[in-house]
Amino acid sequence: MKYRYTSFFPPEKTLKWVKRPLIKTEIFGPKESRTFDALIDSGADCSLFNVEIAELLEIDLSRAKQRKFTGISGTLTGYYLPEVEIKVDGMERSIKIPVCFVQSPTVGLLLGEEGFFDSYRIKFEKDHDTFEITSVKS
Amino acid sequence: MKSRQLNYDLRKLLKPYANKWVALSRNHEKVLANGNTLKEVAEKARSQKSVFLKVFPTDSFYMP
Repeated sequence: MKYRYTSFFPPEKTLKWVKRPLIKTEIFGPKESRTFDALIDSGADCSLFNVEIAELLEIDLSRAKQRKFTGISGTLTGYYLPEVEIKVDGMERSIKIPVCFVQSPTVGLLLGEEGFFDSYRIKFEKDHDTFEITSVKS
Repeated sequence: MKSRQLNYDLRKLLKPYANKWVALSRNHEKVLANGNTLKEVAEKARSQKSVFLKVFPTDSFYMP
């Protein structure tokens, strides 16, 4: 399935836009699911979700393992769950991926390498304003 | 290859909502609710099918 990049307001006047590979993704909790725009981030070792998502969906983090993450703004500790169910818009089936929930004002949802990139083949074709997601099990 | 020929342009739509959570309509044409916390936004948008997004500042580039 091919998707278009999403345009955001550019921080500099010399640019028309900033484009990001965002994908509508349904996140499942024990009782309900909600849909979010998630950023596909091949530079992230694993998927990072804002901890507010766990609170909203009543995902229990009490038994989650702590993991440290280092990024451009320093190191932070997150709560790691080995299996969180997600369904990417346009894909036939949901999958379970490991997710680390972090308390950070700069993280919404990042779909990173571990689990997500193992389940899907992602081709970025920014010169065509598209990216392609294919299930590796199909 | 199937294609989703959607090209969401959120430049104008999200400019007023830096640092907020927003609930967007499924076609990304309207902001249905906004707020400082996701829970607050979800409560405001309860009856509507929406897509949630954390909006980052518009005066800087995004680097997770």
